[in-house]
Amino acid sequence: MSIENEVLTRRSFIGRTAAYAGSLIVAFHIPKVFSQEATDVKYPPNAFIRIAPDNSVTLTINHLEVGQGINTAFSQLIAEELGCRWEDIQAISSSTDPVYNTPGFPLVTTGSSMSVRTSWEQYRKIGAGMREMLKQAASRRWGVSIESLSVENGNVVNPQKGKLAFGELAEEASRLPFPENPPLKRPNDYKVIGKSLKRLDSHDKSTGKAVFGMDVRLPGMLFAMVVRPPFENSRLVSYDEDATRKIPGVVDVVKFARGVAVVARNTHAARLGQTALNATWDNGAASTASTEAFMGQFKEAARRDGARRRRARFGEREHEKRRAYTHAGIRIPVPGACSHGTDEFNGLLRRHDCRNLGRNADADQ
Amino acid sequence: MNININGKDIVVDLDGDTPLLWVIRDELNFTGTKFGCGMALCGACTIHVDGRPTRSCSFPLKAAEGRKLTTIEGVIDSDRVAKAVVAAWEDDSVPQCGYCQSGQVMTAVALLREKPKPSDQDIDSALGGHICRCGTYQRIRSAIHEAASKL
Repeated sequence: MSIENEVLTRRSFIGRTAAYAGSLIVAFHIPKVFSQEATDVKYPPNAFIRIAPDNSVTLTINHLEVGQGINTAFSQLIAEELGCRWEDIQAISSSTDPVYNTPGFPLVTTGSSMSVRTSWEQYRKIGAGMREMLKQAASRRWGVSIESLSVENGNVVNPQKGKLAFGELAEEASRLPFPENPPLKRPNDYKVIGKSLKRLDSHDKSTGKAVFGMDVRLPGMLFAMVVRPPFENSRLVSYDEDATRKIPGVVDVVKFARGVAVVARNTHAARLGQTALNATWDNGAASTASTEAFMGQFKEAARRDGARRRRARFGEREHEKRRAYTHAGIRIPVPGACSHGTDEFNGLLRRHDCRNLGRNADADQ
Repeated sequence: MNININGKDIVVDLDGDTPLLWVIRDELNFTGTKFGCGMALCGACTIHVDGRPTRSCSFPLKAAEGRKLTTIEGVIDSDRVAKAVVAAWEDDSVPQCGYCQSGQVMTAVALLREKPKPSDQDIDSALGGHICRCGTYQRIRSAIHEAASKL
């Protein structure tokens, strides 16, 4: 059964999930001329900023918000230069279109504590460019010089003419070319950067409205759980498809290159199916692996090249310990992906801190 | 199976052993309640059963009949306490990744409904079983005090 109004239509699904699921929908045209991998990029501002007639400002963030606050930090970069009101901003995640590539990288990626460093100039330039376009639109509307204009709280202001809200100018401004080198503010004049502001994502995350990878819901969707090999090169020997299919709610059992997926009406049935599969594996050489053996290998590696400086700094014992734990470090994300295929839309929604790589890996599987 | 969730009576055609979590998330599409461990160890799946914070991943559907179930979606605007908790969570920018916060909020609301002026110790013992990978515990505690001060 389902509650009709809780089942999301495709449109409301896009609206709700865009902020968190890594939206695949680009709601506007991005000329391919901007899709590149070089550093000499011309930013189409509408790919990053959308100003609606009601003055709401939607910012597209090309790094993944995973709690580090990147949606808020990047919004600060744009707000500083654009001059919009903080409370008018909504931040959403970008697609993997190359226009959103991390500056200097051939892909859309998030990591290594480098988001603000890599996009620090990019996002301020985007905000500044949009500000100049809004000023130019106001200058035409009023017949005054650009120099006589300033921005303040989401308005373009002229001492004689008064003010025009960004929302009133947005459409006109969007038809203007993006300026080559918009002037950037000096650090002494910063009003938004460097301030501790309320995070933009707190409300959704405090009320259960934030959509995580596992929360994507489409009409009639099924749920799958996957049994994966215990080791990198394990070979699937057997699994009990009949027993799995007998579990109420299980719809299908799908073998793929590296494992078996149980597709079901809900996650509970899929989880029961995972167990019922009773998959057995030939683990090859990995069957003799052990934590002790790995630690031995790590310690051996720690004695080799490049280790001398750290050894001098931390001492032999501490160095070996740190080195070993660095090798052993693993991440435990909350995984979840949604695949969707119809005549009008075919795609895969998931979170991944290096989204292009995630996209390719998922497509392979 | 008949259940009452967020004020609505609903008929669910599922095995009685199905954990409530999956009824809520997959059948009813209330995705604010999260799956963390599936073993009642982390608190991400907390809902209210007759007002008491309960781990829905380990609470079978058949035990829910005749009880009043409330998820984060049903609690946030339900009364002054819930509104104060959400407001304090926003004021203090409590969530980071946010995955555990629905559960944290559910238990915080239940605590304040029972104890409008909780001590640090009350907070720690009520929310001690809620695990937050980002380590937002200090802000959670101060946000609960802030919500209490507004009640």
